[in-house]
Amino acid sequence: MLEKTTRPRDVRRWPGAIPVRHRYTPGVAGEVFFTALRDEGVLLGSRCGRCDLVYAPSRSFCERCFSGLVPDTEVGPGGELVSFTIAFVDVDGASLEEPIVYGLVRLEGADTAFLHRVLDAGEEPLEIGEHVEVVLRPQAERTGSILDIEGFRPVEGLTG
Amino acid sequence: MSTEPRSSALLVPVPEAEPLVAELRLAHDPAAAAGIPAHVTLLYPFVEPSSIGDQALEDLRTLFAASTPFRFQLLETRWFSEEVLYLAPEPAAPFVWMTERLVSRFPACTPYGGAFDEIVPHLTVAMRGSREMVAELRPGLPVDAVAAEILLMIEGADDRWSVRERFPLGKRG
Repeated sequence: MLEKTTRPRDVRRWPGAIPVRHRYTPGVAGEVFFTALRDEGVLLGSRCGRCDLVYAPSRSFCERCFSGLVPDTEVGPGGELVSFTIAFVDVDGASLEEPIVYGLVRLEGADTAFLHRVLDAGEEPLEIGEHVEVVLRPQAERTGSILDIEGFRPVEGLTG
Repeated sequence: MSTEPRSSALLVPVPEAEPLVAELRLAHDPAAAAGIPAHVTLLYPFVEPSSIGDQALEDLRTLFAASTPFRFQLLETRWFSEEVLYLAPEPAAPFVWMTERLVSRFPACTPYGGAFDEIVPHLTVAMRGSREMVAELRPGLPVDAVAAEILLMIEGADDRWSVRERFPLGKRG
């Protein structure tokens, strides 16, 4: 029976929950990137010879010319801070225990920016163009996750 | 008459604003004449000076070290109740965060004794502002500034304020 609802409060409802699970895979290039990160502590990018661009993390194809790529280029561990922001509240607007600094870093040898935390910014305000270096977890603690990278730490006295 | 310090405050000094606001503040904000530099208040009134012990100082050190120095701008003039003229810092969130963390650690202290519902970071220029003052300030805006340290200031029995402690923002070394 089709009947127009004029009193929404009168609609019968059954409370419940629908379980939804997600499983993301890193893809072919991502798998190599995370394995190299975990086992060797290196950051891998992919070079497109046609466009002369190095993507980091590694990619399966060039985003400009769609050529197939492989993780073939080690990048970092240093890089240039190309942008950053400081978060004082979480996604729900609640005050964080400590502010979190997120940075976009162009790793040495790469043309793209890599997003991760900036650690121990020190007593001077961060500057765009500042030189940073990657900080990895100890090898025994690495699991093949993006969190195997603790973040990037400014390198005193250097600019990118 | 008591000679004990009477009150205390935590604030972010803004020396970059002094060239623009020093004269106006001296003439129109009693805090300036009492020795308080151009600033954004984080928490006033803070703990009674005689009650500020080593643990409180250590907690303040830890709290501010967990933060990070940041750049901000004083963008424009604004008013409280069409009377108090102030400069508004942008972004305001870092100042609000520090006030919230302080209140969380020192729950007996609420900004301005709980007189206001909302935390509005501000740099007071005049307790009774005027349109002429706004016109005087406007060409000097925005002011680029860095929040790099926090001052714990105490009010002496002679009504003068002095710096009791400086806390750098961010970790050392």
